[in-house]
Amino acid sequence: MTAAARYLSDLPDAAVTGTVAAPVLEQRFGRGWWTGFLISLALTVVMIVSIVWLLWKGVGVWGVNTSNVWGFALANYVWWIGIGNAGTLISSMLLLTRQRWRASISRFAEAMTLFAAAIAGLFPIVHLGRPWLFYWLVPYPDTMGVYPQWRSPLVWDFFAIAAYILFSLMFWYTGALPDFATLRDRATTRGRQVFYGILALGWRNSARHWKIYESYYLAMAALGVPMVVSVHSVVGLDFAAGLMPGWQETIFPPYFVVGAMYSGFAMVVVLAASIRWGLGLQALIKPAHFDVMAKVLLFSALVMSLSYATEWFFAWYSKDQADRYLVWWEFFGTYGPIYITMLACNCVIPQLLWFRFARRSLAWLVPIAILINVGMWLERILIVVVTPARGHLPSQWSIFWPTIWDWLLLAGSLGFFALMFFLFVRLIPAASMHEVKARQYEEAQA
Amino acid sequence: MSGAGTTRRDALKMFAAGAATLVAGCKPAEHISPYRDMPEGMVPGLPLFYATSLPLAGAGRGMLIETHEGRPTKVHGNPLHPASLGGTDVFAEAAVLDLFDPSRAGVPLQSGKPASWSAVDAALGAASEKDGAVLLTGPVGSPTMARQITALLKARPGMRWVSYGTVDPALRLPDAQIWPDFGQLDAIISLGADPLGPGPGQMVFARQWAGAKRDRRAAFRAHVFEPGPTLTGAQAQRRTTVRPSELSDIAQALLAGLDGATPASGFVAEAMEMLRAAPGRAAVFGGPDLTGAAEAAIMQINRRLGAPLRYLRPFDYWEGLSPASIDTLVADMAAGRVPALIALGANPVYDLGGRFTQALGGVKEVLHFGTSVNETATRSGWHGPLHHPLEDWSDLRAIDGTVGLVQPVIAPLHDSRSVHRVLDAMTGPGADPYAILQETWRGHWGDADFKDRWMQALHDGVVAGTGPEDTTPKGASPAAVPARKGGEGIELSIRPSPSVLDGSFASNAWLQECPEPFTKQVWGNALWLSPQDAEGMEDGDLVQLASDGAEVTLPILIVEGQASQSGTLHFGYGREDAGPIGTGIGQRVQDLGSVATLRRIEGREEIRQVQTDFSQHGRNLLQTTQTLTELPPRPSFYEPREYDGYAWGMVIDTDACIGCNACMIACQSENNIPVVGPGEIARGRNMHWMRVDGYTMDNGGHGFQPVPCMHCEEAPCEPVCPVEASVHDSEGLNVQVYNRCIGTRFCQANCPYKVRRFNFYDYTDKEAFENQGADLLQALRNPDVSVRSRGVMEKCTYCVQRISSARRTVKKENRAIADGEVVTACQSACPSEAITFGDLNDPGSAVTRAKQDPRHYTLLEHLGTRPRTTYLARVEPGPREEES
Repeated sequence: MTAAARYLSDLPDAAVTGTVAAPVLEQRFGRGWWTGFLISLALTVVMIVSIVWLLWKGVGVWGVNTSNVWGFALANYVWWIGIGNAGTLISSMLLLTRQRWRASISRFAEAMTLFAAAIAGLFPIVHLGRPWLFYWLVPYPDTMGVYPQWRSPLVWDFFAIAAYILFSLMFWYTGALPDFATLRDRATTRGRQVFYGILALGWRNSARHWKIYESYYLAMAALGVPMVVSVHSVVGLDFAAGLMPGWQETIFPPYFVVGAMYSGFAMVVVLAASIRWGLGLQALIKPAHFDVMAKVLLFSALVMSLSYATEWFFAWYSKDQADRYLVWWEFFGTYGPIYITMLACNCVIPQLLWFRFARRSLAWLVPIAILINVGMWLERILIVVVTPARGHLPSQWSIFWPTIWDWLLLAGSLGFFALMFFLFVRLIPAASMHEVKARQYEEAQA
Repeated sequence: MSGAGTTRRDALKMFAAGAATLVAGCKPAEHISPYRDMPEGMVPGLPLFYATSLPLAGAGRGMLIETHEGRPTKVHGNPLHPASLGGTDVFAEAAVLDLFDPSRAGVPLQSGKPASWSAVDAALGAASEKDGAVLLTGPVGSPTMARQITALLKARPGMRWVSYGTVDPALRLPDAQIWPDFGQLDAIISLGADPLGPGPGQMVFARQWAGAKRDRRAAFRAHVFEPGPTLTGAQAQRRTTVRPSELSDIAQALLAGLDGATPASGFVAEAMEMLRAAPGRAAVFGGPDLTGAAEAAIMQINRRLGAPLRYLRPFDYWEGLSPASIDTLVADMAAGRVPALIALGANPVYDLGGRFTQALGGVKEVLHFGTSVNETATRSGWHGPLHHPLEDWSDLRAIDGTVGLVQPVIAPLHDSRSVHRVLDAMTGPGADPYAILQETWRGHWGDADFKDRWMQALHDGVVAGTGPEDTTPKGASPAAVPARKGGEGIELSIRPSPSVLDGSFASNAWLQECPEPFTKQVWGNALWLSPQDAEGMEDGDLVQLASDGAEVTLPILIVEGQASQSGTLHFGYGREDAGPIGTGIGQRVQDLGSVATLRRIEGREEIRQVQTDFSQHGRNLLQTTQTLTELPPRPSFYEPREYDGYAWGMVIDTDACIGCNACMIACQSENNIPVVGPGEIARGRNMHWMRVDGYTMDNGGHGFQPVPCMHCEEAPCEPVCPVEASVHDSEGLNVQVYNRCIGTRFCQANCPYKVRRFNFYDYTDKEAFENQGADLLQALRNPDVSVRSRGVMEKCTYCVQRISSARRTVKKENRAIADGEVVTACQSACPSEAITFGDLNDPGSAVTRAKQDPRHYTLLEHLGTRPRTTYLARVEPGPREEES
């Protein structure tokens, strides 16, 4: 038995298929699913209402002000795009580095990426003063000869997000092709057969199919790694390309990539625990999976702590008064308590993951992961609002306080995310059956 | 068509009859000329300028009004007028908004219901005939009005004329206006006087003060003793905070010092030294908080020093005409001895408060005439709307005595009347103000060359032959103003608001949103307390002030530079009937006496401020000659840009800036900048393109730094805009393309100077504050400047429309734009000429010379943005401002 075996189920292949396919095909969803679905549907309505209100009145409904111009919208964007990082990382990076444990969690992690990136993409559009003109960032042949301004990180951002969403969609969908075929074959009703048949794109499980699939999937994975690094680096550049204290930092691109990985994996842990419990996938998603993800979290926590310390060090080392004051103010200013909470969530509490019990017990790991997500959200908020609150000219310092519409849109976006997930688990196999079986076969051969 | 019903002919007849009725129903009050007879000199699309005078506290300030196709849009200073000298103040700049104020009185009212002018005339005639009737006005600065009142009192022997003022001009004695010769003045000791503060003298004193400072930098010194910060105190080289009651003692001590006595206090000794060091070139200015004895002492000191001061006849003094006292009137009213009261252009119910309002109950017939339905109007049986000065013919004396004509620049917007016509209607038919005005001047000039002189006076805005007239002040009698009561509590210094003056500008949204210079408070007033007195309290904590039976609850502001055991208050707030803009803003404080007990009460009130941190945090933003350091030129990867044509640049002299905000309101008027209202201000939003930052200096003083867009060569806003809405033009302007902007706000996020302004809502139209989106206000807008919509970023353009206009002119004349031909709105408004603008490619231009000044520096130079707007450092001789 190899080291990878602890990530594999003890089930025979048929049982693996059964475990994953049954919830989708039999549609036995109880009161729990319906409750969650309705709550998230209600929150989705909240999101729609708050977006309509925003479009109707203008971005003035938010707490943004003359100096502090971005507020929640961009923080939420950075946070969601960070959540959307882990799926691609798990699929691409772990595939390329032959981390076998990815098999059982990659599917829903990719779905998470897709949903989160889609929600993230929404924020930069609705945060615009005139959102209906967002397409001006596209280099289309305009009769006036106007074009996007290529030096702006926002244009890079636009392309990075668009490419990332398209990539995530393709990667996730094509990765599920064999499983759609399985569902098609196992479906008992005509409707499902047609539905999954269309999704399966004529997959026949032939050796030729598999050959093409394997090389295509590997190529996509190879594409995915630079993609995921670039998208988060560009998000970092949105700030780092600026001239403001606290933003103009060369560390931002790598620091954003790691931060994204951090919050993304934390979200995967939460979702994995929920799906495992909700769909009864205990056999497929094993404590060993949580253990390894916790190690990723621990590593990220260390990198994040180092990044924060680097920020402090360079502020001191630069001798720049604005930078130094900003760091002092982060700790002791208006947002000080939030900053301390953020440090506790992102740097201190995850240190528990040094201990095996915390890594393997969901009762420990899930709360820690949730706190990491909270901490990472606070970090995004602080990045967006602290710098403009304490910029170069003291006369223009102003604090951002969110309004009810800021909160409603955030809550609504979480609800929409949950809604997509509730639909996902009903329609699409939540774990990659073909991959788990392949790994089990490899293991048996070894 | 046959049978019953209307035939085609009948239908047409009826239509014609209906149309005729409609036409007749309109108000073709005057002869209408077809537009083919264009007004003289008018070219459609080009503005016309008319010289006129605008009143402030009754005194005239000469202005040039820019009109576009008959709509006045902008007020400029009149360089020929001695009370303006080309500069403006906030009140003048905001006059056009007052004119178009949607809440202005539109029709005559009888007990609040619309009435006709003929009914008003009848009531007015009847009231004026009553024995004991009283005509109540503010200070009268109009020769024509004075002539009319004289004639009226002659025709109605039973009538009395009462006049009262709310804001005295600075350096005003009861019977003389002190007129310093700043060219001869080296040492100024001010005992609470605020010549640079708001009032009709602000522009002229600021111009002369700045000139004296600039021309005789080594010699010119001022030492200001004052309870709370004033604009004069901020300009002085030395400033000592004292309680108001101490000011009179200092006056006496200075007088004693002249006699050889040793002053008890070091500061007085220092002031004494200053006076001695400049024989014949020193003067002492007295302020409003002095006792009569102290004023007399100051006059004596000035006489003995040989101070270069003139004593001029006050602007509201008229030979053979002396108003009765307001106190007597109130007593008579209460006793029922006043059968009719005609308040003309005054708002005594608000200005004088409870005692007047109570006494008003004893008056049977009250008539009020004014531009708005104010507190007095709502308590009057009759209200007649008056023309705004921009709609009226009149004349006004400036504080130095020079008379300027007032001419209408637009036909009256409402069914209002001239104040002259109302005066005339009491005894006569109510003649046309134009005829009444000409009659005055025909009396002065005769018929011979009347027409030429008239046209010349209209053209210049100044009546030739009028001017300062010397007078000999009797000197204040020591008993005139008794010593301030001592006793428990804090001493109050109650001053007119720098934003709404005495409350008469309360309905003006530009002025309500114009920040108080020291605290940057907008939309309200507060009690200023010293940090010592406010111990344990924070800005916005509520306190109750009680004195003389009056109680006022208002929030506090902790102000560095406020004397301990004293407080400063601004009046002009707490209006009850000032339209949707001014009603209920702040607290009325006029009834408080000079000493009040202070009690902290539960609760807080949010103070609306556009700046809350006044420390420089060691960043050396507002530099002084002491802190000025030169940075080595910064290396750059970019080739410096070359500009073949013009390269516009601006230099702002922070030493000359007095912090009066005229530039802000000028910018607002020129560039169609909306107001956002107190709610949006509380959210941290404002739209001023030009702002004046205030900072506490290292030595405790207070400095001002006007901040327009810096127009950086390496502008941080430009590379971050994804749609190229923020771009650099060929003359070095950093321009914003509004219709390309999609509102990412990245430019403002990345602007280190934070000069960009975002339309979070549709501030100009649908989401406008109160009535500021009214159709009438469309007429106010500058047609040369785009009105910005919701979701768009905007900012200072260096008044690019004026540059374009100059470019069009010179193209026709085939020449280059000369230095000084393009003047930005802020520059032209500045009374102290602190702003220089011009072409940096012209080695001889004023702005190029200013950039070579040793005091020249760049704000946040280390960022490498290379701004086109740069500064001249403040000149600070050394430490100042200590508690005495």
